[in-house]
Amino acid sequence: MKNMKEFSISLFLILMIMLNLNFNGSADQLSADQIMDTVKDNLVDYENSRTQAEMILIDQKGDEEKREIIMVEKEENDKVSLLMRFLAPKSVEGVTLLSMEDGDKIYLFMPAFQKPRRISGSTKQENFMGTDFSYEDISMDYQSEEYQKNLLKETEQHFLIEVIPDNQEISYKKFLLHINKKHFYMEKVEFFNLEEQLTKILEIKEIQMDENGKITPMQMELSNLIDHHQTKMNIKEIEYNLELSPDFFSIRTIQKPKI
Amino acid sequence: MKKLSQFIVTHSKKIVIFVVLLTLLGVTQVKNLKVEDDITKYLSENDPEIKFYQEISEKFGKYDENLTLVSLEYDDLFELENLQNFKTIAEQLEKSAHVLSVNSFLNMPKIITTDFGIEVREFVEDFPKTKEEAQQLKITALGDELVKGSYLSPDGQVGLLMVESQDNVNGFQLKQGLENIINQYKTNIKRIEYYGLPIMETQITEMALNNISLAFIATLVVLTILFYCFRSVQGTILPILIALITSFWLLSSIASSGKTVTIVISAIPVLMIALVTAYGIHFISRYYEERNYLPPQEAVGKTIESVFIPILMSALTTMAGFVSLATVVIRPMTEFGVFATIGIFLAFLLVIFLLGSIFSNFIPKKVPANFSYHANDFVTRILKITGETVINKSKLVIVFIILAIALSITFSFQVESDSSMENRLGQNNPITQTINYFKEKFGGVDFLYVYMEADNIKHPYILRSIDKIQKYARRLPSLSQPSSITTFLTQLNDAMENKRIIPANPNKIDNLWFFSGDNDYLNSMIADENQHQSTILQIRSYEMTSSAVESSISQVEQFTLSIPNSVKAINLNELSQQEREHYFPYIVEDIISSWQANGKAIENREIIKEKLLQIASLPMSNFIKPTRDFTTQIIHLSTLELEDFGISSTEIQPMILNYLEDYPEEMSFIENLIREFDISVEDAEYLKNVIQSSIAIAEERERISVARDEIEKLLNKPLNQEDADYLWYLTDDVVYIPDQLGDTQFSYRLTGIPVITNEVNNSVYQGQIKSMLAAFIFVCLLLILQFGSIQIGLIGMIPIIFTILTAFGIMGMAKISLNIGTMMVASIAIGAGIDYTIHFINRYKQELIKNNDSIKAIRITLTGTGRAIIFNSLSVAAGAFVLALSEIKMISEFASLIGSVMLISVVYTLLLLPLLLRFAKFKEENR
Repeated sequence: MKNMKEFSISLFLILMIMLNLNFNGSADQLSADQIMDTVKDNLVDYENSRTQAEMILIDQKGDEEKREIIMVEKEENDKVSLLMRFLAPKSVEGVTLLSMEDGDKIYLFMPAFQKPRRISGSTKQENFMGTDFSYEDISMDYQSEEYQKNLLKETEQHFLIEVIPDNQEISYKKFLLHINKKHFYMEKVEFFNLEEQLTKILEIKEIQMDENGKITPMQMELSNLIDHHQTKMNIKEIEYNLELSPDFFSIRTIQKPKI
Repeated sequence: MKKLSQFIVTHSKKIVIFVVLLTLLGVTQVKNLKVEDDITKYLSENDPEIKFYQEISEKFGKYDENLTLVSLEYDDLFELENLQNFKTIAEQLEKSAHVLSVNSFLNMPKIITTDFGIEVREFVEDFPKTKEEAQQLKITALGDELVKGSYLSPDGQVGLLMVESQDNVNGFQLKQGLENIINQYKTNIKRIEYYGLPIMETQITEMALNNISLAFIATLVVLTILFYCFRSVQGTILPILIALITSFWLLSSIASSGKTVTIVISAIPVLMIALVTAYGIHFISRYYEERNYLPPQEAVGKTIESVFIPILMSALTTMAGFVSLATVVIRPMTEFGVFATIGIFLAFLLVIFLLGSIFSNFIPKKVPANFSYHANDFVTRILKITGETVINKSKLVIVFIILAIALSITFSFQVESDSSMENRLGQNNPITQTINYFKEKFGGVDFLYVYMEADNIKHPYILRSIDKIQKYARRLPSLSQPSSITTFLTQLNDAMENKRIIPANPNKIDNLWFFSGDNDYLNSMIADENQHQSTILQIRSYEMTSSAVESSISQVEQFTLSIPNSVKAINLNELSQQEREHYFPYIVEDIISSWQANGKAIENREIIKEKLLQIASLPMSNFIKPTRDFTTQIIHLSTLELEDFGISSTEIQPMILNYLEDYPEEMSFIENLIREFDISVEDAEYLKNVIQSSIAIAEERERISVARDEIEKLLNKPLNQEDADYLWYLTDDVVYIPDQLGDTQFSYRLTGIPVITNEVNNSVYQGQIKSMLAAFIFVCLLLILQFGSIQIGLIGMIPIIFTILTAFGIMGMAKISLNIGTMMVASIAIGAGIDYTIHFINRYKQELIKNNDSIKAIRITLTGTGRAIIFNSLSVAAGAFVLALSEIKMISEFASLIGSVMLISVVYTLLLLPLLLRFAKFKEENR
C-alpha cells in the first residue's frame, strides 16, 4: 500500500521536475539545448506557488487511495523550499511536511503529537522517509552543467532527448525526455537506474496554457515500475506569486491550523 | 467357475496381450506422477480450518508457501569480512531468478530517534567500515527486539535470510539457484541450512521416490523366499511379476487421475509386493500340485476353479482392511485406502487371469516334484512342539497370552497421537535436522497466527489487546518470537513521544500509521488495506510435539477469550476531573492485566491498584516543579520552536521559571515574551502554547517517575523496563470500557500449521477408531458369511483383536506415536492377518469332519496349514521390513509394525485358535 507520504513525495518530485528541469548543455549539443531552453521558456515564471491537488494512488492490486493536499513552494537562491499539508482524508488531516533548502532540513508536524519532529537527513540515495523516492529525487540539481544531453530521435510528435548526469553521486544513469513538439513541454520522462533499468515513468496527461502561452501541467501520472504502483495527480487550483511572509517556511507555520 | 476357467484358457493369448498393452499405456502416464506431501492438504478443502488457513494465506501473501529461510552460520558474523560476505550473499540472492525479495537484519526497519527528530531507516544503513563499527553493530542488533532471535541468532553467529520466491516456483530449481550463489561465497561459512515449503517438497519427493525404489530390494528379498519355497523360475518370478504389474498400474492410475503421491502412497509398491505375492504363491503351488495328476491345460482350469474362492476371500478381507481407511477424513489415508484396495483387487484379477493365461501359453516342462507343505523340516518340528504345548499345557499358553495382553493393554495407554513434522519424518531425517537447527537458533519454523478482524484494526484498544496476547504467548514453552504491527508501532511511539506503549488516542495511531504506513513489514501484516480490516499476530511455534503445541494453542485461545472484544471509548479530555476519576479504575486494570500478560506476579494487587488510582487522580500541579531541572527539560522539549525564533535557552529560562511559579497564570509570561524578544502577540501566543505543551509532557514524565518509585516500593523490587512502560497508561486521554454494544468490536481466530497439525491429530484419533471399527465389522461379516456361523466368525476375530492390542502395546513400549502412518496398521492388520485365521479354521474344519477328533484335527492343522501360514507371514513381514529402511520415520514405523503384526498374528493364530476352536461347533460336524 502506498501512503500519504508517498503521495506527498510523488507530488514533490513531479513539481520539482516540471518546474525546475532546465538543462544547459555544452556547445556541441545545441539542438538539445535549444529544445530545452524553449521548454523552460514555456513554463510559468514564478517566485512561489500554491497548489491544491488531488492525488490518487493505485497499488499493484489496482486498489485506489485518494488524498487531498495543499502545497506552497518557493525557489530562492536556486534552492527549493516546500510546505505541504494533507487536507483529507480525516485520519491524516493537518499532517504537515516542511522541506527547506532542497530537503537539507525536513520537519514533520503530526497534530496528534503536538510537537514537530525533524526528519533526519540521510545519504542522498536513501529513500525519503522510507518511500521509494530518494532525497536525491526531490533535491537533484537538474540545472547542473554536469548533465550531458543528446537529441536521440525526432518523431512526428516528439523530440527524444537523453540526459546523462556525469555526477557519480547520482544514482540514475540517465533520463529520457519526450518533448512535445507542438507545445514544447515534457510529455514523458523515463528514469533509468545505474543498471540502466527503467524504474519510473512520469507522464503529463493534461496541460493548461495561459494567455501568454505559458504551460502548467494539470494531470500527471507517475508509475513506479519496480513496485508496480502508480500515482495520479490532478491539480485543482494553482496560484502563482503569492504574498508570503519571510518566515512562512518555518516551524511555526507548520503548527498553525491554517496556512 | 468352470466357464471362467474355460474362458481364461481359451482367451489366454488375448489376456496376455491386453495386460501388456495396458502396462504400455501406463508407461505413458507414469511420467506425470507428482509427489506432494503438504499437511495443509491432509484435510478436505472444505474443512473449516483448512479453508480459513487458505483464506488467511491468500490475504497475507502466501507467506508460508513462498518463503524460504536460508541461515548462514559463521564463527562470528560480526567480523567485518563475514558481515560483508553476508551482505554480498543477500544482495546476490535478491538479483537471482525466482527470487522476489530477500529480507535480513540488514534491511529491517529501524527507528532512530535523534534530538527532536526521528528517522525510519534500514537497520544497517551505513555499512560498518571498521572492526569497532562491526562490533558496535552487533551490540545494537542483539539489543533490537525485531532483529534478535528473528533475523539473528541470540549468539550473533547465525544470520537469517528470508527469501520470498515467486508463486509455484520449482523447489529444485530454487534451491539450486540459491546454492549456486551461496557456494561462491561460502569460504567462512560454517553451516548453511535451507528451509521452506518449495525446497521441502523437493526433499520429500526424493524421499518418496526412495520409498518407491525400495520395491527393488523388497523384490530381491521376496524372490529369495519364493525361490526357497518353489525352487523353480516361474514359481519365483511370477508372483513378484503380479505384484510389480499391480504397483505399476496403481502408480499410473494415480498419475492419470491427477492425484499426487504422498509419503503414505509411496509405500504402496513395497506393500503390494509383500501382500499380493501370497496370492501368486497359492495359485502356483496349487497348479504344481494339479500338474502332478493332470495334463497342463486341465491343470490350469482345475487350479482356477480351486483357488478362485480362497484367493477372493483373502483379497476381500485385505480389501476390507484397506477400504476401511477410506472412512478417515485425512486425505492421504483415504487415497491410500482406495488405491491399495484397487491394488489388491487388481492383483486378484491378475493372479486369476494373467497367471491362468501364462500357464496356458507357457507350459512349464516339469514342475517341482515334491512341492508340498508337508515337509518335515525345522519349521514343522517347531509346529509339532507348539501343537503338543497347546494340547497338553493349555493353561500355560493361556497364562502366557493373558500376560502378553495385560502388558500390551498397560503400554497401549502410553500411545499418543502426534502428526508433527518431526514425528512424521523422524529425528535423523535431514528435514527434521534443519527444523531443529532453526528451532535452536530462531525459535522454530512454523508460525501460529492469531488473526484479528475489525472495522478498524489499527484501533488502539485492538492493538493493545494484540500486545497483551503476544506478551502472553511468548511466555508459553512452545511459542516464541511473536511479531505484529504493535511491536513496530510501539517503537515508533517511543520515538515520537518517549512512551514505549501503544497510545490510547486513535489520532496518534493514525499519525504513526502515516509515518510508517509504507513500511514493507507493516504492509505485509495488514490485509484489506483500504479499510484496514484485518491483521495477524505471528508467533513462532517452538515445540515439535503435537501435544505441546496443542496445549499452547489452547492457552492462547483461552487468554484471547478473556479479553473483552467489544468496548466503547470515553474521551477523558471532554470530562471534568471528577468525571475522569470514575474511569481511572479501567486504566489501572489495563496496566495490571498487561503486567499479568507479561508474566508479572502481583501479590498485593488491591494495594497496588489503590496506589495507582491515587497517582492518577493527583492534580497536574503536584508534578509541576519550578526548578532548574524541570525548566531545562521544558526548554529541551521546545528546542526546535525556540531555535526557529532564534531564542537561546539562557534567554528564556528565567521567564519559564517565573511562569512555573505562577502557573497556570499566563498573561505575564506572554507579556514577557513580547517585551524580551520583540515578537508579535500572535507569535507570543504561539510560543506560550509551545511551552505549555512542553510543560504537559514534563509533568507526565514526572508523574510516571513517581508512580514507578511508589510501585517498586510496594512490590519491594524494581519493575523491569517493559512493565514500567505500562505505567504510561496513566497518561491516557481515552479509556476503553467493556460494552457489548460498544463502537469498537473485534473478532479473532487462530490458524497456521500448528493449528492444522492439531486438527489432523484429532482426525487421526477419530480416524483410528472409525477405520478399525469399519475393518472389524467388514471382516467379521465376511468370516460369518464364509463359515455360516456367528460363533465361528467371532472366534475367528479373537486372535486378530489380540494382535491389534499387542501392536498398540509395542507402540507404547517403543514410544511409537499414532500418526497417519502408524494408525493404518490396525486396519491393514485386521484385513491381512485374518487370512491366517481363515486358512487355519478351514483346514481344522476339514480335518475335524474327516477325523471326528478335535485333537487330531489341531495337530494336522498346525503342522499342515501352520507351515504355510508361517511361510506366508514371513514373506509378508520380510517385504514390509524392507520398507522399514525408509528414511521417513512414519513409513519406517508403519512398515516395522506391519511386519511385526503379521508375525504376531501368526503366533496368536497358532496358539489361540486351537484352544478356542475346541469350543466351536461346525454345522458340518452333524452330517
